[in-house]
Amino acid sequence: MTLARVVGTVWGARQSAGLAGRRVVEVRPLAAGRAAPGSRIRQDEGDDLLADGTMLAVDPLGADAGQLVLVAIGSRVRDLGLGADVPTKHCVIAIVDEARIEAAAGRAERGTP
Amino acid sequence: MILGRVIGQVWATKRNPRLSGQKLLLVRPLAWHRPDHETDHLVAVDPVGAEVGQDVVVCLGLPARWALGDTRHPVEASIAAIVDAVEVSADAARSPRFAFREGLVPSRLRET
Repeated sequence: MTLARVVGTVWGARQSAGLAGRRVVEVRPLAAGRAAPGSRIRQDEGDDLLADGTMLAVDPLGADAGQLVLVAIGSRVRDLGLGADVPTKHCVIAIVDEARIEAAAGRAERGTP
Repeated sequence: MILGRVIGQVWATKRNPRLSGQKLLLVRPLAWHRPDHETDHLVAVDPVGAEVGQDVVVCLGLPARWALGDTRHPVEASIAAIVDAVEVSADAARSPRFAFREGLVPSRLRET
């Protein structure tokens, strides 16, 4: 799963039947590599820790712009989280209150234990 | 499966009902096998009790749901093991095909 921030909503006047009544959100994934230990990422905070690209996900939970969400990716996850008739592989499975980064991601030394 | 390091935790009140009670960890992959969607982090369900700073084995896709013991969870990443040590031959470790990410190396890597 990927942590991402909702940056917008997408509406289509003409859409696949499987998308009818579904909320489609545009999200920007987190760039965890930029986060220093001790970083906290919450609603409307920490935009500098987001990656540049965006992706679209179907959102059954009703996340608003600025909120952090957990996006699961895959056709089976879609079957379980949304239903097999929804034409997407990206599904919002949680609205995140806070993500806390507590450890440095890298810079570990090679060595013997 | 991939190797990763637990770097943090995620709190989410509103979630898919099948995710209730599951601990969610933020993991930085140490190496990738060219997945469809490469990101610089993963959020994985943790049934084994890993802690921040530990290196872990992360199962992806269907095996992630097997590792949780219930294939109906709408997740595609879960923690299968906590790593004590990683042992690789010195030749393999220097091969360009065996590449950990820049600056990201298992904390207990042993070259033999």
